[in-house]
Formats: sequence, C-alpha cells, structure tokens
Amino acid sequence: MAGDLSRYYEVKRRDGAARIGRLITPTGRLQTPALVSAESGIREEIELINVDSPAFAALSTKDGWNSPRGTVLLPEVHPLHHKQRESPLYVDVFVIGFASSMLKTPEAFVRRVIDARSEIPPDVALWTPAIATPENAALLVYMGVDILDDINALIKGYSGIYQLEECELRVSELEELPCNCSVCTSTDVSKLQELNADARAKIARHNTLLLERELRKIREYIRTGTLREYVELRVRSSAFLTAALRILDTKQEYFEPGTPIARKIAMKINTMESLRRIEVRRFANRILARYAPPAKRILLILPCAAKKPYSSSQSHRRIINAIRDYRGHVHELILTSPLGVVPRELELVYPAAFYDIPVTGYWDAEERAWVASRLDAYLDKNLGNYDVIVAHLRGAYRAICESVTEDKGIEVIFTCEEQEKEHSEEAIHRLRSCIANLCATSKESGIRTGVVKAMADYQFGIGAGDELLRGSTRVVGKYPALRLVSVTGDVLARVVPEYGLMALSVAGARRIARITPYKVEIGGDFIPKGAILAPGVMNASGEIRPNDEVIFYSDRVFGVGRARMSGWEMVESIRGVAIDVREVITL
Amino acid sequence: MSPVALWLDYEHDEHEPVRCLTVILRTAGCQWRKCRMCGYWHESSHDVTQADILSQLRYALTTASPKNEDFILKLYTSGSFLDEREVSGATRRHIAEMLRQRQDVKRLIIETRPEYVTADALADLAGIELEVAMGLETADDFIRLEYINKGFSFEDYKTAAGLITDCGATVRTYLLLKPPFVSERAAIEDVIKSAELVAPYSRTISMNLCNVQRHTELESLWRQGYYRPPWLWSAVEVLKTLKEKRRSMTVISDPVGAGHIRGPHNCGYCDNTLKEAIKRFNITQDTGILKGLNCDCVYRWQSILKYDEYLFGAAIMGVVPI
Repeated sequence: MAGDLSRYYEVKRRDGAARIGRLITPTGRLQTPALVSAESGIREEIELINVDSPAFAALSTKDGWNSPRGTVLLPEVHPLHHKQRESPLYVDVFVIGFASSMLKTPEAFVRRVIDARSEIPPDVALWTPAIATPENAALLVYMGVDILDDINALIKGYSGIYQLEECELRVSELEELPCNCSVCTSTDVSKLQELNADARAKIARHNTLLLERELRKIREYIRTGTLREYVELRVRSSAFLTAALRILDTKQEYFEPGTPIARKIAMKINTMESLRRIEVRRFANRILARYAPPAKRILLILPCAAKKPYSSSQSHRRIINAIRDYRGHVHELILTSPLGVVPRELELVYPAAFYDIPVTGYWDAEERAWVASRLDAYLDKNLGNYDVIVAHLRGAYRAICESVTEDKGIEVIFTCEEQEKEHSEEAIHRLRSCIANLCATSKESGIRTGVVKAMADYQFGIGAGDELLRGSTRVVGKYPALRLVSVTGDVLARVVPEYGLMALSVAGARRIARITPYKVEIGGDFIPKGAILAPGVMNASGEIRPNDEVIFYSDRVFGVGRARMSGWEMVESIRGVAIDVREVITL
Repeated sequence: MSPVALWLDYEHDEHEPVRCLTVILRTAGCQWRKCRMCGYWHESSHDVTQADILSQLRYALTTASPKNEDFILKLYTSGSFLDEREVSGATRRHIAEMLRQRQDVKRLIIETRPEYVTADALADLAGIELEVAMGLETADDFIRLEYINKGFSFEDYKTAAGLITDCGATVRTYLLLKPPFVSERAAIEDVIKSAELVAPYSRTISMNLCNVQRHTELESLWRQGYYRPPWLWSAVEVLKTLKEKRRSMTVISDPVGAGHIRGPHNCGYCDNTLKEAIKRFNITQDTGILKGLNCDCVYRWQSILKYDEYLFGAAIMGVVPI
C-alpha cells in the first residue's frame, strides 16, 4: 500500500526507530518529533485526505502534490480498511486512526506503531493523535512516532486532570502545584480548582506546556544518543509503559537496523531492561560471528574495569605490566556485564569502551545467567585455540567462570584469592609467576596489529582484517589512536577511539571492497562531494547501520564515508542524506 | 413461552402523557442480523410457533395492561413485525382482531425493516390506529451501509414511509446516536441532519442512544478501544436542538443503559440526573427540562467536540472514568 516517495518530509537523524526530521509546511518548517497544537491550525498546513473522501484516489498519483499531505491509517477492524490498501499512497504523513485503542493493552500500544511503520516508507512521518502525555511521549517517539499533539493534554485539562511527567492527578486532589511552568507560577491551586472554563483552560495550558518541554527534551536526547536511557527512566512510573518497553525489547528485528553502530557517548546500563539493549545483543552476536582469537595458547580471563578502555584502568595496567614479557602467549578476555566477554583486541569498539554500569559486587541472577551464557558460547567456539585457561577472577566473576567451566569439565587456574583485590601486590605476583611458569619464552604481545585486525573483522566482516594487513603494513600511532600504514606510507585505516570505530581510507577500502558487504552502489551520473543523498543510492547492503563505515562506488567513482541511515533506508528513502563522504576518487 | 420483556410506562401522545404497554415478543428473530451494534436477535428462538406469539400477547395483555384506562400498545419483536417469517399474516390478523375487540388500545406501535412494508402486510392491521416504527438510524447512506451495516437505503425507507402513510398509518423513525466509527461531534451532527430529512415522513422521531450489547461486533470494537458510547450531554443537545427546530414533532429518546459503561454515559456523577431529565422530556416535550443541567464533566464533553477534527477516532482515556 505504501508509496515510494515523500516530498515534504525528511529524516535528518536516527537512533533506533526514533528520528529527528523536518516537515516543510506552507508557512514554515516543523521539526520532528513535533508537538503540533490544535490551536495552531496544523490541520490547514497538512492536508489530510481520508479514505472516505472523494479526493482519496488522488493520493495514488504524484500529481497535485504541492503541499504536505497525509492520510489516516485505519485499523483492521474498520470497514474501510481494505480500501486504503488498494493502491500505493504518495503522502508525507500517516495518521494512526482510533489511536486510543493503543492504550488498551501494552501489546496494542506496541503493535499499532510497529505495524504502521512496517508498511509505510521510512521517510514518511507518523502521527499518533490524541494520546500523547508527558509520561508516554518518550516511548512513542522511541517506537518511531514523529508527530504528537496536545489534544490529550487539552482535553485532560478541561476534564480537571493535572498531568505530570510521571502521573495524572485530579486537580481537586492537589494541595499545591508541583510545577513551575508559567501557569503554575502565576496562579495558585485554589484558582485551578474552581469549576469554570477559565480554570480548566489553565490546566489544559499547564498540561500542554509540560508536554512541550518533554518534546524538547526528547529531541535533545535523540541528538545526544541517550533516548534509550531516557525511555528506561520515563517508563518506570507506569506498569503499562514498562510492559510496553519490555515487549519492544523482544522486537529486535524492528529496532536493530536503525540502531547506530557507534556513538560518541557511553550507554548507561542502570536497569534490567538495559541488558536487552540492541547494542548489547549486537555486540554479543558479533563476538561469535565476527571474531577469531589470535593464536595464543593461554587464555587469561580478567574482570572488567570501570574506566574505559579497560587497559587504561589502574587494575588492568598492573595486570598487563605483570604479564608484559609473555603477552605474546596470552590472550586476554574480559568478563563483564552486560557485554559478556570482551576480547582485549576489541576493547576500543563501541560499546565495549562506551558503557557505565553500577558496580557493587552484587550481580543479579539474570545478569549472571546472561554473562555466563556468553562465556559458555565463547568457549564452545574457541576452546580449541587454547592449551590452558587462567582466570584472574574472584567473587561473582569467579562464580560465573566456575559455573561455565565446571559444566564443561574444563580445568581453570585461578590466580586471585577471594579476600584480595585483583591488582593487589599478592594477586599480581601470583598471576605473574603463574604465567611465567606456563611460558618457556618471552614473546611480544602483537596487540596493536591484533586490535586493527579484530576491529576490521568486527566492523566489515571476517577476513577484512587479514586483507587490510596484507603485505608489509605497519601499525603506527599512540594507543588507542592507531593507524594502519602501507609500505608506501599511505594510511589504510584509522582507529577512531572517540566513536569506537575504524575509519577507512580509499586505499584501505580498495583492499576489502571485494569481501565486505558494507558497500553502496550509487548512480553513475554524479560525482559526490560532501554528502550522498538517498535518491542517489541505487543499491545498498542490508547490513549497513547508521554510523557504519561504508564503501560507495559507481562506474565513475570509488570512495568511503560514514552511513547516516541504514542500508534499507538508503534504498527505500527518497529524501535525506545517506552517506557523509570522507574521501572519493574518480576512476 | 413468555415474551422477552414487557413493561408499563408513559408515552407522549397528542400533547399529553399516555400509558404505554411495551411488549417484546419472542419470534424467530430478525433475518438480517448484520447490524454491528445489534444483539437483539439473540432474544429470538427458532422454535417459536405462531400460536406461541399469540399466547405471549394474551399473557401480556392479561397480566400487564392498565385497568380502566386507554393505553398505547408497543408490540415489538427483536426483528420485524411485518416479516412473514417472524409474524405470519394470519397471526397479524388475529392480533388485529384481538385489539379491535378491546377498545382500550388507543394506538398500536409496531417495528419493522422497510423491506417488509407492503400494502398487504399493513392491511392485516386495518382498523387500528397504527404507527410503524423503522430503524433508519441515519439518513446518511454511507454511515448506514458502511458503519452500521444496515443493508437498506434511505430510498428504501422513504418508499416504505410512503406506503405506511398511504395506508393511513403514521411513521416513527428511529435514529441512532453514535454509530460505530462516527465521532461524538459527527454523531450529533448526523442525528440533527437526519432528523431534518426524515421529519416530513415521521410523526415521531425516537433517538436510540447507542449502547454496547453483548455478543455484537460493537462489543468487540468497544473492548479493543475503538468505540465509546455517546455522552448523555450529546443526547440532551440533540433533543434540545430537534425540539426547538420543530415544535410540532414528537422527539423522544429512551435512555437505555444510561450511566453504564456500556451505555450512554457521562462522568458517573451526573448520569442519573441527565437520564431522569431525558425521561421527563420524553413525556412532556418541554425543553426547559433539558436546560440548566450542569456538571463538572461538561467541559470535557465540550472539549471533545471542540477538538473533534484532531481525534481521528480516538477516545480520551485516563485516570478519570469516561
């Protein structure tokens, strides 16, 4: 049913299913996620044509599309539901009809939006009318809603319901006004409690102001990459919304393609839902699918550290120092919640170097089970790589390690006592002598090439690391800002620690172009400069995620850049920046 | 077999309240059975014989008819009184004979779908002051066919109304306030507009306030949050408007289920007051009764009408029952 073109709406930025976009209206520009107001005449700015209107047929052609227009998505139970699916619709906005049905159950709340998003093009705005509250706005946007309105705030206000971010109260029950909006600072509670239209209009105004403020916060958190954290916080006041988030967390296939591959900011893992984040699951999957450990015969399992990258923490510095001479024999694997296992070579990637979790020494059962399952899977795949396993762990870390290895009948040498800190003199000494005893000779770590290889494989697929390192390449630069340089001195790739990513040069890209799926075919009729727009994309890999490093090419050009949208969106969108170009050559 | 229900109350008739006996006869039930909001056909029974129908009526008249007082008899089935498959011609003639002999039945009101209205069927009831009620629900064919699924057109109704008038009977038109998929404001506008269009054919306009009956499609819609019954404020608004526009016409509305979550309702505090006001208005036709009603929740209702074009079918749910 969906059209393939959106003329007046453009998505600028994405995080998961949430987006920042822009709707061009006859009188201005509306930034989304937007709060539209019943008082502002937005219905005149966006022409909404319903399926029962004689003008509906015109939505199936692009003729006369001279201002933003939209239509209502009717629920399946609606008698006219089938009529709107008869032909493609060229619109800028879809409105979810009978949206209050979403509030019946958390399942319905999730389903209506995901169903809508799954059948409409990515660059069309979605509006859920009359249900937005300060409490649910963040979750609505997180699910992929672009337009909210103040109808619920207004009608609740006229109903004498005073809204807050975490609840709704009857105005008659208030003893004071727990708010400092312009309404609440210029009146008092008894005035709001009067039974007249004026008092009710004031409550409606307060509700609207609160919702406006909420939208500003939400937009800001999309920009900073922290909307997920904000949603986890916001849903906490309501069992309904918390249930909805938990249901959403089972819809990985919906959120994963839009979730950026890297961010500049650390994830906060403060709730049980945090364990189910896309980033956590994606990392865990790639450790199994896109990582091969170096040929080192000793596996050393270490606890994580609060400071990232781990190797910059005091405890890891001491441990590394203790095994320095033998590091070429020792493969370091860090045990951590919520990521599970982090090989030393991947400690710089997002999210391994980008998460914060409260550390108390207490691990809950779900955390333990999850981390144990990651270690278990890692050992199932890679055990053959090692002759011996040493674990410098205590407390919950040790218990997890034991639970996994005992099940498998694997022997583990533990080098840390329960009562001592991992980096205490005694523990460090014990670790050093243990490793020294296991190694006949000293050997250099090779960690710098290991990092480049592992990050390339992680980002571009197994084999990419070997291709990049082929021939007489050198890794230069001060860790973590490593650069891979060819024999002729060309930079092939750079580790970008600020993002936890590796960036390619054209020279590096040429080495892996054959084997990596991270490629975008663009139209041959132009030479891209700063950005490649979605209409210029002919084809793009479904593997590509926002912020991925991608190779683009046509008959005339070859280049590298940073993806701004998922590969799916590049193909399906008609507006918006697909790739920020870093380097391009003509052929 | 006893009737589905029977009760005694008042009807407004020729400027004064008159006693009215309502009897809901159990029959084979409505043949159409597709209206989204209707569960009345559940009250029907396959094995009702024509003799049963007569005995139901005898039972009702014996046990419940007012003594020493003329009364109106409303003889409804959970379907169409003029449908041969429910009430045969012989039974109708038998009933007519029974009523003609009584003398105290001032007027007979029956209900039927328009397709069963024929000169022959009406002739069965000759000699009785007759009013034929039809559930047109709305003059808007689109709403009636698509949203209610009623299966007949305004033209069908007008044809039937013509036949009824030609036979010397009068027409009572039922309009439905708030069919499924119609917003509160659109519902009010629809009844007002429909009333204008049916007024030339109708002696009485009776507005049904849509309620959520069990085992209906509407019930499923309501459960899923796609439907809210009309506000009683809307009913009051429509009655007031209709009566003031057409002083000579009788406008009534039986507030069935008023105040219940499945029926027409306001906030829970004022429902009873409004329900009683509507009942008094039905008998007196005095719009004064409908004025000066007030409650806190009127602001909510007003804002729902005001922001109608932004609701797109949504109801406003929240901590306060609605």
